[in-house]
Amino acid sequence: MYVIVSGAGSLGSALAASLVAAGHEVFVIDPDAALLARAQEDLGSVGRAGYASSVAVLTEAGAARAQIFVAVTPSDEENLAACQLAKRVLQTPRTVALANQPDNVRLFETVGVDAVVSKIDVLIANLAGSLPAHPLLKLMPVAAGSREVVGIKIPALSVAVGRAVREISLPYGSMVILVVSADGKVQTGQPDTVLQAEDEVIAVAPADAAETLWEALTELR
Amino acid sequence: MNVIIAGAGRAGAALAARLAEGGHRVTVIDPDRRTFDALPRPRIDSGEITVIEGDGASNDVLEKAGIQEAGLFIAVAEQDVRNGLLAQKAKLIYRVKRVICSVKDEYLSAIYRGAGIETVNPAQMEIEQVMAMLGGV
Repeated sequence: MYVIVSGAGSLGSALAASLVAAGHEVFVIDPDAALLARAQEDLGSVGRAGYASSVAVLTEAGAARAQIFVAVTPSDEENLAACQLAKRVLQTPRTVALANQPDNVRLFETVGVDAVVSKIDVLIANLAGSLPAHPLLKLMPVAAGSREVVGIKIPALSVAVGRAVREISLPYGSMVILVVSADGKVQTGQPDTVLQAEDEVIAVAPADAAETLWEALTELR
Repeated sequence: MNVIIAGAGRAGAALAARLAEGGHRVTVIDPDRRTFDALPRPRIDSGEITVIEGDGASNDVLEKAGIQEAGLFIAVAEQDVRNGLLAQKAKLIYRVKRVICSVKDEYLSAIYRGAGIETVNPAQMEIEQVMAMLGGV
């Protein structure tokens, strides 16, 4: 595929490198000639110094034959204008833009940027992934140690958030007994009880499946 | 009418003064408070012109400026792409009735007009004035 990347900062150059490694043809645009030169040294791909929000620069970059145009500069207005020009004037089929400000995500989507990446969401997802999840609390062994009563806190980015108990695949023989929300509301665990971020779940599971249950409830999206 | 002007440069400051003179309630947004020095002080003191130091692309700043009640939004910052983002947000997200955007690039201008934004080209006006002075050279 032929991909044009606007922005040779840390994000743009890392993206370009991974695209090149995957065998794609990549063209990098950045107004900072030094940044661009560094990215090109590492990549060996072609590029041009300039602003991608210029039809002349996009034309020279070959936006008319590119399958994807990606704008990941630190400037939202630059990313937006470049994507609009690539799409509307040079008919690049797919445009992707970074929204540095979460406020701008809706506008980007409204004007027809095909994929909008919100910087805050990326940071939160990465951060949450690198943080230790809430641990499994083994509260009490029951049935001569063959079962375990456990406490599990649901992380905000867990796949379980917003889902009913029956929609989550729990290990055989395990059961959610109680769901206590962060504000202290207590519900008995029913199949249609919907789990929320930061809920604390009291469950019983076969002793050897307690970890699996914990994983099912804390796996990140 | 409530008017928001994004960008208190030469054009923005002069427009704010003229519109306030015409009896409109004007709010001027600029990230650089020093630009407000070009505005008529008495009209700021009397509340006819409100100044907001901040990023005009921020929803908080726009809402503080009263964009939901504005009948006219004028984007006259330095850069085309900046004006384009602000004007499109005013028109497409906040549904401001009349949006005017200063833009020199003809391709961008056409895209913004397609979204129902009125565009002015300061470079073109300069060219036309000079050509008129030269009188059919």
